[in-house]
Amino acid sequence: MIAEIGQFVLILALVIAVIQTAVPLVGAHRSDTALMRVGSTAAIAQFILLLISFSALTYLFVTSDFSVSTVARNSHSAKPMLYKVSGVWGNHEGSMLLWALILAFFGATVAIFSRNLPAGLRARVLGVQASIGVAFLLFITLTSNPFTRLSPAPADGQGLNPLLQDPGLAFHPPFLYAGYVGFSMAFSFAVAALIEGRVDEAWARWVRPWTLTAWMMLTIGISLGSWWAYYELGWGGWWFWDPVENASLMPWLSGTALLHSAIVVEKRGALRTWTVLLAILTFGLSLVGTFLVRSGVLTSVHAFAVDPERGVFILLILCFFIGGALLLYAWRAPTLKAGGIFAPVSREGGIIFNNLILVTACATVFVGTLYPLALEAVTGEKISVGAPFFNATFVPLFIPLLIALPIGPFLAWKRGDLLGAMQRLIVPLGIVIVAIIATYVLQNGGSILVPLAIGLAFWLIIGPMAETAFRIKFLRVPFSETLRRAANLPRSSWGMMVAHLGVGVTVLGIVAISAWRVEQIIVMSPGSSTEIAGVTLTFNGAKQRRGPNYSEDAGSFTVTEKSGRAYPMEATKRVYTRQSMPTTETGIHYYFDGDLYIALGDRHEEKAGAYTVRIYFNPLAPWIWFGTLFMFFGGAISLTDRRYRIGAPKKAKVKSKTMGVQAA
Amino acid sequence: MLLWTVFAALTLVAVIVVLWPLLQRSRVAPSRQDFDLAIYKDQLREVERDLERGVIGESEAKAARTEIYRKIIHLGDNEAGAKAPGIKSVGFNRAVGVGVFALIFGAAFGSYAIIGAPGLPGKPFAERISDKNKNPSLDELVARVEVHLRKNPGDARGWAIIAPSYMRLGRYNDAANALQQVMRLEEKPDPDVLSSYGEALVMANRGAVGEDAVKAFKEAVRLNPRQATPQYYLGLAELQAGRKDAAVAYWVKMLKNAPRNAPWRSQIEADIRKAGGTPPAAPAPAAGKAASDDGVPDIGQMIANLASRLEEDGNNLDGWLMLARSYMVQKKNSDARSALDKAAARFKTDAAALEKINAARKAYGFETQGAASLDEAAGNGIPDIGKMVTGLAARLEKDGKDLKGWLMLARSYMVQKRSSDAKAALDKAAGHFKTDAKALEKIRAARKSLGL
Repeated sequence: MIAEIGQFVLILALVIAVIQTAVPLVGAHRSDTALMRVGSTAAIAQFILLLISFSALTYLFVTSDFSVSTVARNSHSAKPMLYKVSGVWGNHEGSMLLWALILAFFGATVAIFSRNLPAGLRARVLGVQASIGVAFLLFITLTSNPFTRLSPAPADGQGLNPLLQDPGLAFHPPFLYAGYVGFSMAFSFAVAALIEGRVDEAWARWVRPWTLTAWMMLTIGISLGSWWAYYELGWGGWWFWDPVENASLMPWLSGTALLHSAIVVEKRGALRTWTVLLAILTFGLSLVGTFLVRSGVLTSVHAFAVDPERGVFILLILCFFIGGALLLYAWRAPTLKAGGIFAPVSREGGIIFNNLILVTACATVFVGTLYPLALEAVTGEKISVGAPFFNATFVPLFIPLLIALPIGPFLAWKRGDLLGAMQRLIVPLGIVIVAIIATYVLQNGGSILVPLAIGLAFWLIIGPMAETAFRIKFLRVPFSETLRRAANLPRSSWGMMVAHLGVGVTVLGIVAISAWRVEQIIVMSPGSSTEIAGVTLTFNGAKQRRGPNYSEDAGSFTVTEKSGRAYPMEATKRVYTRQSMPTTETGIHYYFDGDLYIALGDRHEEKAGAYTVRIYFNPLAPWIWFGTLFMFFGGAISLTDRRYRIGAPKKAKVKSKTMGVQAA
Repeated sequence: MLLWTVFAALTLVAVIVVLWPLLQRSRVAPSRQDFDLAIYKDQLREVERDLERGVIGESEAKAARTEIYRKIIHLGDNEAGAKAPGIKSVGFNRAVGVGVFALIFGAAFGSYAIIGAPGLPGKPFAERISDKNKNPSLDELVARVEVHLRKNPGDARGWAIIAPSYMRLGRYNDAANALQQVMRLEEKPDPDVLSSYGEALVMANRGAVGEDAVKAFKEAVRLNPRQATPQYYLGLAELQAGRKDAAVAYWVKMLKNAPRNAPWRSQIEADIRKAGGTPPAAPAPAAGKAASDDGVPDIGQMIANLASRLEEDGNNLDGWLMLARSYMVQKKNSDARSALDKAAARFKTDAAALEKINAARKAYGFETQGAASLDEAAGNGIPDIGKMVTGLAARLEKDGKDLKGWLMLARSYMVQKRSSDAKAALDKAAGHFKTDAKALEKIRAARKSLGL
């Protein structure tokens, strides 16, 4: 019964999405308020229906109802509860339903919270948003229906991919989807603006919170994925330039560009057509990412089902929306009003520089990811484009952007003063030079690149702080005045500082782990010990254990520090019985200055009780992910800025009064 | 019915929510210019804030203000002729409302009719494996035991029960794991469990006999050298390792120990030939009865098998009682009696067993024996050969078509040093099997070996 309700409600949501597409667009065209408002009510109804549908699927997973095909193929009665729940989206059908749910959620929030959006724009945004919903709900019901039934029902399910049975990965997809789908909001705003024929400051103001939210979610989603790869795959790496990772990095890069260019539209009215184009491309890249991981083009943990039919369907969705939007863009963009003018050295100029590099970097990743696939499709030749390519292209591209990052916020709008900006950055520059020299001395010579990279990280961390310090006149006025100014500073400024500083924290982690990682791969017998990064590591032997749905060899280690303090560590090698699939569960001890990281390898063939053990000391590794948390919270702080919530005129007669209240 | 009511209610609520704006009276929305003006005013305030914070200078602020004022003046330039939002046509909207209503109901129920499965009840796992489920499938029974074992992993019997089901369901890894649990929990190693465990490993390994499996099979053979399965797999392991001779050796040994009509005999023989060996001859049919052509098991053969098994290992009271019962069915009363006698000798210290044996005796009309006389008859626990020989001789007098019996009788006489009786028995046998060259050959061989 629950499964059938889920099925019916899913269909109902599809039908309502069709209505949400058609009625408000007609209403906006006719300037009919009642028809336009159907967009809002339909958006709310669609969201609630999909929520019911998703809850039904969750119930089916939790109660292990194997009369539902998706549950039977992807769950198991012996799975821990957390993974029964995360198993809902740990498979193709469920994850697509989650995708549609998040899409509807964003639509509903527009309907509920954007009462201050002009009625026509809101109706068109909801209409376009719902058309994406129609495409995906059709895709779900026709090719990936999560409620397809099985009769007779098998007694037990086939279980969830063991690699996905992990807390880090349980929440990676929802964040990633919130990011991908969030960019659909920017896309809907862009297409709605093209239909309306106007992109203005108001438009940019309303599109920014959605872009920012999507960007925050995507940042955390990518970060969780990277963190998972670090501790689960057992090789101590944190980014592998794997096509699946790149698929999520591309929308992040163009989304970051969009985030910045939308500021220019909002504040200066410039870069309008460019911003609209970026919005279309960013969502396009989100769809490309979905296509790559879902079509079976790439083999990975994400390719739940290799089904060409689904791949073709997503490709059609991609072509229809991106092709359609670009056509509309080619037709309508020339009619958009041009924006304000500005000098090359200005805040606008800085943001153009930022956009230029981000988009080029994104294109680089795009080529590096898709070229091998295209080549294989055309000539059948298999080539591998990996880290060397990206290190040689992406990294040098990014460095100028990172150098310029702290300077940009010091430049004024329209006409900036580069020399003045540099003068204000003299203190951070001094600290950076000290850091470079100190690093050089500490590492006893060697490559000059490492100290320079460390200097860059310091530049990125201290630069944004210096900007804030300058704004609140830190040390230049009495402290109470500084505090007053700090309190008055818009929250978006604080958000910018935190997010920019986060980039520096991440860069510091990356530089440290790349330059100073210590690695040992040795065979250890019980009782033997080894020295690494100033600690002594003793292997106490491994014993076999059984978990609810796996058995494992648990290697026990004792770490003794120089001070004599000792603590135990454990690294295990698991085999999930249902799938006969081995996974590594690494042991990681987090120090302030880095991670001690142990991965248990294979049992030694001859020596009894001996194992191959991979031991790493990864300096500052957690900082990579701390940095992304900074970026996330920077975005969150900026999001709470009141600028986004005001500017809502009520009815004409009470308008002036409302405005007065809001200004107060 | 409940399902359809729920569907109808959900649809109705959805339709009302969606069409709510069309049901309301008209409402005028603010125009686009109002929104733009609000933004520009906001921007003016932002300029003031920046100025006050010192982010921009007075001249920059002035320029910014000028720019915003210019925008305010041009406000609505390209909105000329734009319609002010409001309700345009009540009739049109009503038509839209009806259309939407029809579409939602029609499309939703229509599509559901195609892809839904309204008649299929949900099957939550807990419900299926609970006792309330009156006719569980094999799968569900397995699942039920699995849940029980998850709670009581120390229940060896449960693991032993579930293992063969796993094998039948093709879940070989699970079967191996279950048998491993049995071995862990049972103190005494059981050759059958070991053998099944090895077999599960082999199946899980897609037929390759791995190291662990060989270890299990060897242990099983050590505990029970006559068990066929482990010997087969040990042979297979040798074959997979390329040692054909060793494989043949295992299989030949296995066939020698096997009952004549074991269903897998011909398969093993074929395997031996394929490996380049020669299969040993099947033992001669016992009790003169060949297996019937239509595949019905030969009862006489079965009884003979049981008897020979009990000769080897007599610690099976039920086996003895069954043997006696079978003999009675075949009207071989003396055999039945001697079987019971042997059982009594075997269990002479077990009062409960003796009681059962005596009950059987009574039922078959034999005189019961007290424990003391049994003791006497059995000597020091050695079966009473004299009685056995008499019984056998009597039986053969009645029914001489049992070559094995005659040979055994002759051998027994020789043991009792009654060589003339032995010679007479063989002569009689030769008389019974005049036309059977093979039997005569065997009789001749027996004469030779007994020195007659």
